[in-house]
Amino acid sequence: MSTNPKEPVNRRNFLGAAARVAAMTGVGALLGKLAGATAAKGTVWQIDPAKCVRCGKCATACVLEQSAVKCVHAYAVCGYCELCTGYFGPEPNELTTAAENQLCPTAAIQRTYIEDPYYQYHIDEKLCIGCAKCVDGCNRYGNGSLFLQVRHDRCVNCNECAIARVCAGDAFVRVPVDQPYLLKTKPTTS
Amino acid sequence: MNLALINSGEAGARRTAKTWLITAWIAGLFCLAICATILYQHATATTNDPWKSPQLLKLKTALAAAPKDAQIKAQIRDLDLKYRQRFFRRLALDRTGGWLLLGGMAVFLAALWRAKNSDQVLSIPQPNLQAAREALRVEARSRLAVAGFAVVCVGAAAAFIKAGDSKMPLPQNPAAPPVPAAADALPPLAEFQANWPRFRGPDGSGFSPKANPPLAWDEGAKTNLLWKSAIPLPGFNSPIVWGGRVFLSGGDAQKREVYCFNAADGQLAWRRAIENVPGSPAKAPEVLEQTGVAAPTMATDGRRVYALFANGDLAALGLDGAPAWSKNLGTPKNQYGHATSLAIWQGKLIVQLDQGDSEPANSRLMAFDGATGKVVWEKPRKVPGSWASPIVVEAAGKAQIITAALPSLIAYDAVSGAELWKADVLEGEVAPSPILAGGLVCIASPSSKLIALRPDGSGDVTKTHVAWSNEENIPDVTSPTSNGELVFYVTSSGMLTCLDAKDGTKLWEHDFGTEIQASPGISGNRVYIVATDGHAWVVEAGREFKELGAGKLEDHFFASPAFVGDRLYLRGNAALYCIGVK
Repeated sequence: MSTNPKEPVNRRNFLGAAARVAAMTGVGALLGKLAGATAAKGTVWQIDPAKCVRCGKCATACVLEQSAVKCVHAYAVCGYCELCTGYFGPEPNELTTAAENQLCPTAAIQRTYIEDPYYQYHIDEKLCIGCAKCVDGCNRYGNGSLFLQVRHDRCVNCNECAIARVCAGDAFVRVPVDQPYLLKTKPTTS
Repeated sequence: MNLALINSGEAGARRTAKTWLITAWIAGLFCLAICATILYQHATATTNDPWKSPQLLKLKTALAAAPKDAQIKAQIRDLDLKYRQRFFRRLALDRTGGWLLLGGMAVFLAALWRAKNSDQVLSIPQPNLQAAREALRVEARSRLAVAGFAVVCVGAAAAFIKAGDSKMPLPQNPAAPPVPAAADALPPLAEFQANWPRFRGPDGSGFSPKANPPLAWDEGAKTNLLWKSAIPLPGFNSPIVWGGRVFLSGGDAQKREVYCFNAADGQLAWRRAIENVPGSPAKAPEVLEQTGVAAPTMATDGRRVYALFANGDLAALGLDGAPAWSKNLGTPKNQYGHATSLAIWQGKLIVQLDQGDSEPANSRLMAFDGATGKVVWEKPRKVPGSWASPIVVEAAGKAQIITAALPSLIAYDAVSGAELWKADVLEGEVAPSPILAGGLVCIASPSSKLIALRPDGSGDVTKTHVAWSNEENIPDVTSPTSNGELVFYVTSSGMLTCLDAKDGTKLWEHDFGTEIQASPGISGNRVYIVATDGHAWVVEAGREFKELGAGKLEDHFFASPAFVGDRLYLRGNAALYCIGVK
């Protein structure tokens, strides 16, 4: 069988080509509709700091070996205390960075001297395991500037979050993907 | 075909297969080794994790007992470092081990596949006599398979389209407010008028034309007291009533709550703590005991109830007590504590948040969407703190929100929040709320004068729209009430005065001689006055003074009465009372 590449356009060819284009357009529209209908609603998991009870399950229940939940520091809320109850354990031996004084089991909080008597605290997220020990200390005795958040550069956004299933404070909520964090801000006083 | 060549080819294929088999073995053992290492690390992790290690905890306990012991400190530091290094090594091994395992498995499977296929000797093709028939059968099966696949695709597409929406619940927080349901259609106006949806009734004037509560009651003699229910926490807000439910709020320095009582029997149907409000201050504001944290009266649109507290917590609950939304407006700076009640208009919640002492500071009027809590509009107000509650009236062809604060009575367009008119007629600490009386807006400038204005102006109407004013027996706390024809008001010392709403002429006055802090209300043709010590009087809403009845309850009263049907609801300091004929 041979084909003529310069076959003239006749009514039959034109109608055939038009039908093919219409069919392809229809299939494209159907696929687009399917994609739109089945797409996720654009929500991700997040921890409501107001509900978090600092139970420590975020460190162990996440499907990731190192939890996607990290401690976050609201600098505007922090008191920059020398005796930071999120950094030091109860009744610390000395106010130094020695291991026996630190509350964080992985030394994920860095303490930097600012000026007497103020210190700045910074979370090293590579080391933080989301155990909430510092959060508990800060919220129990301090301003509550340390709190837990799901970090979305790590979270795999499981449909049924393993931590949400065991969260003691029922603090896991779905939030819009364009506002993925529930951050603490400085309380309004006016 | 050369037989030697075939034999040589077979031998080569077997050698190749053997090589691939050895490769598969090595890859398999490599995978097993990786798995074993990872599993071992995990098995030993429970006791060696830095934050769980009993040994480390024991050493820290020992250090607490002997704080100067350098040896224990050194042991803690060594052990802490060792465990942390081990922990992060394990994490690193998990990461690299995963990739190594994946690579090993790929090599293992590839080698196994090659080993299986390498020792196969190709057979000499023979003519297949059934080829044509088989081809036809394959063609028929292919068509069937394509048709079946198409059916499955169409079915799956239909299922996806139908069930495309995620069933994952969205959070109840301001970041993602709940979507209003179809049931959010507002109740008709007649239902509003038949209930008591806000402070001092449907229009805030304290007037219910159709209610018919009894003329007399006595708790001691058990006359016409249908029920009495204890209120868990204190509050000076007045009861609101909707659909057989009575709502109140209460609170102290620790807690803020909303209560719902069954109107039928006074049983507490539910109580809901308002907590975990985003942005709510950790410490309760300092307020006077005479104001408390729950002075603003609640409001309802018949779908939800709304409550505001002295710390700025604003909450919306379903009629069944289910939280709808909540937010904190910032603690109002108010020397006595915030007391302005909420207003409602066509599904919008109106909040007047005046604050500041001598200088205006961040006072504002806000309208929230009742279903979602979203701010519909917000307007700054150049006024200091006030305690009067706003009303929403239909006047001059517009829905107007009338507000009172030093020194102005200001009207806003309820739709857009635009300022319509204002009159600088107020002095002192503005606590009495405005009312609509016979088409005029009446407001008491505390202890100074009662002014009535025509609400059809624009801009500054101070000199152009004052219809009348009267300076006799003006109250400093309570608000006036009116049936459209007459205006009644009572002073804190108990002097009740009646004016003609048309021109402000005083018709009569009567001194009850006792402290009265609750604003009076009118039910039908009767004025109800409730004194602080529990005494109450019912007088005719007429042009002459005529006492019709009296009541007595064993409590103290500051809240305003609510009239619904044949009943009168009164909030005392300790309990909620329902007055009606048994």
